[in-house]
Amino acid sequence: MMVSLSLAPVLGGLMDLAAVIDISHAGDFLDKFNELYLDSFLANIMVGVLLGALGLFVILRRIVFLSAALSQVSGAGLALAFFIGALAAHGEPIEHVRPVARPDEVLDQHKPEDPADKDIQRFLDDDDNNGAIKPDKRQAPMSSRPQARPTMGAVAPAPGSPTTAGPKPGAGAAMTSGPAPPSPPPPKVGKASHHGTHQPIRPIFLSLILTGLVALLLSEIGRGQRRSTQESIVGLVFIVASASSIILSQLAEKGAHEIAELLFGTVIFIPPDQQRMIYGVGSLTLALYALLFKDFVFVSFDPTSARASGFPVRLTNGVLFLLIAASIAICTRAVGAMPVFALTVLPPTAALMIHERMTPALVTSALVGAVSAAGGYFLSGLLNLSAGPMIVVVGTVIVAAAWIVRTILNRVVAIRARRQSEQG
Amino acid sequence: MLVIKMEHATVGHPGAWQLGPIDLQVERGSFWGVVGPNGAGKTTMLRSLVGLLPLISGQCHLSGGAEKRGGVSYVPQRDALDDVFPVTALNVAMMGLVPRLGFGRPFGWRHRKIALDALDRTGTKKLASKPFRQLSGGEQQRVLIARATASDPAVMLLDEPTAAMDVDGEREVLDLIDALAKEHHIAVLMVSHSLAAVRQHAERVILLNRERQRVRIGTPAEIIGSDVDEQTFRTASVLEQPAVSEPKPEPDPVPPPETGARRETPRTARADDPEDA
Repeated sequence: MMVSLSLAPVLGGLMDLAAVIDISHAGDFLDKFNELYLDSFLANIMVGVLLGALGLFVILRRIVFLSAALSQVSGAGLALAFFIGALAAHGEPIEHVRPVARPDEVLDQHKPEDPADKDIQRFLDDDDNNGAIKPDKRQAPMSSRPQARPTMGAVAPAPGSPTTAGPKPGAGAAMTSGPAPPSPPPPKVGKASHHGTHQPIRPIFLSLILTGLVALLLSEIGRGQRRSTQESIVGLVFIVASASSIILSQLAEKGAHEIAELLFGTVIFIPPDQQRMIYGVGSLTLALYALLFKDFVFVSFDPTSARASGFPVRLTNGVLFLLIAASIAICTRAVGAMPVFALTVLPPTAALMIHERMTPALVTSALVGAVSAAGGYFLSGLLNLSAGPMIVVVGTVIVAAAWIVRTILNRVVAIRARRQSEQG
Repeated sequence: MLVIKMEHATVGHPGAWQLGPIDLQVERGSFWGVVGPNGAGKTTMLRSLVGLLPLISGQCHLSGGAEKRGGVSYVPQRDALDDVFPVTALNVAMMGLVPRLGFGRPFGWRHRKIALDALDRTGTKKLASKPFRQLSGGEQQRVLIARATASDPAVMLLDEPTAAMDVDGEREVLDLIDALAKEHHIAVLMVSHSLAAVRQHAERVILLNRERQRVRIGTPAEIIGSDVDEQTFRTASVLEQPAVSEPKPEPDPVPPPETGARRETPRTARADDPEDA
């Protein structure tokens, strides 16, 4: 009786939660999965493997905040590229500066009724397509494939909106087949709207360069300084990059939309060019990582001995930080800052709870990253929720499971030791 | 064979404190003790010797194999290592081979055997597969010494290797260091607070006290003496005694270096890697 009384509110709450979760799109998501989502799903897995593997050193070197700061720097690099594009389009600084938007206003930019926003979004989908939509054999036919980066959750348009076949479907149901969308109207977002054809720098390249430079600086700054720690400087970089990305995106008119996606990880469709970037940079990074793994372990475990022995510690640290920076820049552009941060922290945390050796910890961390990314992505599609937070949820569940396993193992070891001492 | 030659060297942290001039010559196979009160500059001097910290002035030359990569091994204080790393004793011993192996070159089975042999020499081979963080303090120290000797170095620096050890553990570790130094002809420089240990094992002693700007170099009998108890020494009162046996510096064959001169060493890579202050 007591049990049923105490469980009643919990069960009631769960039922309420089930009622809130919208699973009406799950069937459509599954139907369209192979056609529309499979490529992005696989790219997400690659992101999970890459960040899970590299995240091991983020945890071991106690530089967790670094990955958060670098993902913000990556976002600032993108915003800077948009801003430069806007300047290049006009040949003069932006005259009209939009007042600071409230969060709901930022989200309102996602309303598909705004044709200019469609055009901007189309540009954002592919850094070098200048707003044009290119057919891609790996994607669904033009009439049905998403022509913009579909988002889920809070920023998704309401189901049944007039543009469900248009550029911004919310979830599976939104990605229904339909007539091909009309050709995009001329951009009308203030004076900055033409930057799609005047973009002097590819945003992803500027983001990569900026993130790499900051990572190199952070690998050096703080060492040997008594009045500041590396941690405080990483915090400074984080806050400056966050503020810069917001200001630059507002100056560039269109960036707020993109930055919101980057921050919350609401993107579910990864454009083909970004998929190629993920596979290319990711494969190269993992190959270098495997080759230099023993060096990274040595300089991370005992940097003083490494320096005394004449080993190139600065070079090794620089390469490690560059690999982390490149991965974070590429993945932030593709899936957003929140899932990138989560995938560098949660998988290695779980792996280090279980393992007592580096190589098994590395493999487990990469696997947990893959499962978190894949699971989060899939659940976001089924439940019509944002992908980034769902990746965090899945990763957190795995960490909790690893903690339970570790606790049980510790108990077992303690009991065995006690029995042995009693018998002895 | 000469491995370290320090000439008119001043060590310390620019703008904070400095200690010198120091002149010393370390031969391969010799055992040096570095002693002094807390904050005397012992660790700073040890790091300056091998380029982990730049000299404020003077010169320091490495030779006789110490100038090569992996020619100097450093055994840090145990609490300087982070327990979060999931490494086994064998992993730690193999790290000693990384400098000789070089950047980006993978381990082979041969290296595994060398590391196991190094563990065997320190009596820790049976612990090879055990997590390093689960070992006792003495076992960890032995594994770190195995790592230091794995690369067959010319110089081994030890920073308080017997700190927080009981008397038996301290004796075992110091006997091991002594034996390895003699067997492999390694120059050992050991920072220690244990005067008894230094008196027993070291052939030469460096006594430092930066507050009193004193540097004395000599035999254990000259520096520590036989009638100075450790408590007296730790209060630094021994430094008030006249340096009856302090060796006179040899005539300087070269003109004194200019103030602010940096350490000159062929190992430019190490000079580029200043250690954390």
